[in-house]
Amino acid sequence: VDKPDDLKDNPQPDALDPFEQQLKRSFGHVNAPENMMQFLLLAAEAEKRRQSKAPRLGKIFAFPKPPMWLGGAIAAVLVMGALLGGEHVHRLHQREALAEMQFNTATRITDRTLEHVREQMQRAGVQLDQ
Amino acid sequence: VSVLMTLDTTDFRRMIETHQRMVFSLALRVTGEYGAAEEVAQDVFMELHRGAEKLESEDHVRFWLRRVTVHRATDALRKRARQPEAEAEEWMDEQYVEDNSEGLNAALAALLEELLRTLPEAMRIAIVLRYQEDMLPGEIAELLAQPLATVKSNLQRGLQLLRRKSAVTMKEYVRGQA
Repeated sequence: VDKPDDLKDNPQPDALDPFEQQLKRSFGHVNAPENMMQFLLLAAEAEKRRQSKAPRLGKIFAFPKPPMWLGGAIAAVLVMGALLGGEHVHRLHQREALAEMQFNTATRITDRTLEHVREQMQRAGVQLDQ
Repeated sequence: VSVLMTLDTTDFRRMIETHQRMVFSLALRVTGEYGAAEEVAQDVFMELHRGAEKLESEDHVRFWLRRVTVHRATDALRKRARQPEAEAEEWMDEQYVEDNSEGLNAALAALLEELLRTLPEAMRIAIVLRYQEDMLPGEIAELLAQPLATVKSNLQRGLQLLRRKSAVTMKEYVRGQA
């Protein structure tokens, strides 16, 4: 099996053959544009000034980070609210039922009283139906 | 600077002076465009200015610059969807060629630069890091976060392509034919 060209040319992997040496010579560092340094220093300075002057919108509108326990506390308050609210409704229903019962009792007493009065008047000879 | 907690103007200037040729050359050979390479180099240094406190040593700075430059240059290359066979003369004028390259055949260097730009992206990057930055395959693999076998394959295939393409016009540089 033929070895690849590069292995034939370069039996020692770390040693550069003449072609590779030529590549290395050809691919040296080139000069950067002359004005690049000045541009970068000015841009960095401008960026630093901008950062020091401009207010950070994120800071203006940011809320402080809530403490870890706040979520649990809110949940506990909601549960307590639900329990107390349920108890309150239960008591209202109890009061309504009691009031209704008292009203019915009072009505029955009144009916019996009226009946008693009618019987006494009949015995006295007064006819209320006429 | 061993630990860069802050980067003042003096430090930033020194870093630009130290690394600008490396960063620009890398960007230029990957993008293949002078203007694009200039933009990439500027972006890379501004990013360095913003985040230098995370870099712990000069070696770390160099590693970071190489990696970010390759990524930014690759992004620019893909964005422009440039054809690899495009003209190379625009940035291979004499003013951009090494001044200390006495004895170097400038025409051959220009040819190799042009041929480099015809290589597929992955091979081109591997070749540039190997021969421009003098990095070993293992170092390239670490920089690119690629398997070593992938890097070796890209290097070998890239080198083969360069040899064959150069053989068409510069047969004297092909071993066995000299």
